[in-house]
Amino acid sequence: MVINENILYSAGAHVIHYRPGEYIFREGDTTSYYYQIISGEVKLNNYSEDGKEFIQNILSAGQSCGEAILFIGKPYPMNAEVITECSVIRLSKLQFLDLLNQTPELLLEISTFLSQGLYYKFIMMQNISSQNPATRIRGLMDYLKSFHGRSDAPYSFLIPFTRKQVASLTGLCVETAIRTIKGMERDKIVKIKDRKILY
Amino acid sequence: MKTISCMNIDGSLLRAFGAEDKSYKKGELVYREDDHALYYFQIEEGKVKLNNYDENGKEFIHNILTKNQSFGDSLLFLDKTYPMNAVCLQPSEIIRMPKDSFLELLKQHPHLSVSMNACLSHRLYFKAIMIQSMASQSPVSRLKGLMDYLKSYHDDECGQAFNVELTRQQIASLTGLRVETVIRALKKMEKENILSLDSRKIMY
Repeated sequence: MVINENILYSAGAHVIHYRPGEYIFREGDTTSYYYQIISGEVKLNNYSEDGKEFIQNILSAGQSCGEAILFIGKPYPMNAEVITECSVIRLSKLQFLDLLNQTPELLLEISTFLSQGLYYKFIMMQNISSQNPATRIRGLMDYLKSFHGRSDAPYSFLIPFTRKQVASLTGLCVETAIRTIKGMERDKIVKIKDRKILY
Repeated sequence: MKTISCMNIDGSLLRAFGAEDKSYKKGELVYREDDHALYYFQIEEGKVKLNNYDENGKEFIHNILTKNQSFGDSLLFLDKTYPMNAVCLQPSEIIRMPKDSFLELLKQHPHLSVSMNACLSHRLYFKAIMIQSMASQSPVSRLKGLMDYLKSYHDDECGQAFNVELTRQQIASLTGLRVETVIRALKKMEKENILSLDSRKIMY
């Protein structure tokens, strides 16, 4: 969790519910809120001119959403689109900045969260500059496992994404992602169980 | 508040909190990929490149930093090892401060903690745009994404053009393009007045 929920409530935050397909914010919007997810999943994405979706990240409970924008006064460079039924804590920008003023130790927690985001982006950038789809997908899986996995053992981590999401996260076509994942199964890099990918 | 993607903390304040000055030779490593992040680094004089190599030995330069710029700082907030090396391109004077002292400094000076967050946010913003452009098929948008990101580390108050200190080959590696494609895209960008090419130099 980035910021303790009770601290956010006492600073004046409210809970907002979103349905799948709804947007928390859209590319180009300026911001007036801090958002932190209580439950559900949100994807940060863009669509290219030809309608192809690129997913920057998929966020879930305990993660904040688009917080970097609060510190730099620029419009959102992406959408936050709700994947599954979501509850989100929302605190106005003014109240949020006020809270940080009064509780400077929260600043370090935010630094940590931002740094995690940067680390992820560094890894993804390296993956995407590779021409090899298996390198891209494996890079994503390594990252997910290193942050969310409980053990290093092979096949111990369930990839929490659909094949289409894996494709959109790595800038590949769905067909390529499906074919590559099958190849990774043959090479014993992943195991497939009831359509789920174990890494 | 003016923000750029790196920190520049007053040297005397850093020293008061236990920072030391260190001299590095040209080619010397400040840290290596897989090292633990133990220090905050800020350049006083000189030039440092952040790089790593793939299995085939191909070099990826992620950034080149110079006077009054910090580097490797985001790793101080994570329990992770460096994903790249920091190598001096010139003889360099670098202020080095132990991680714990740096975190203590931020605690005692919340305004620095605020600037740190602004910096990290700025970096994240340009990285997001860069990655998004990498997923695009257009070489020009890929190059633009990379250059906007690199430029975000520099103060451009005087409207000066930013010198992209990467070779065409390095740009190609970072953007997943072929060198010939990079050369063609750069020429196209010059025609469209997005950048200027001064002999081999790229000014953006």
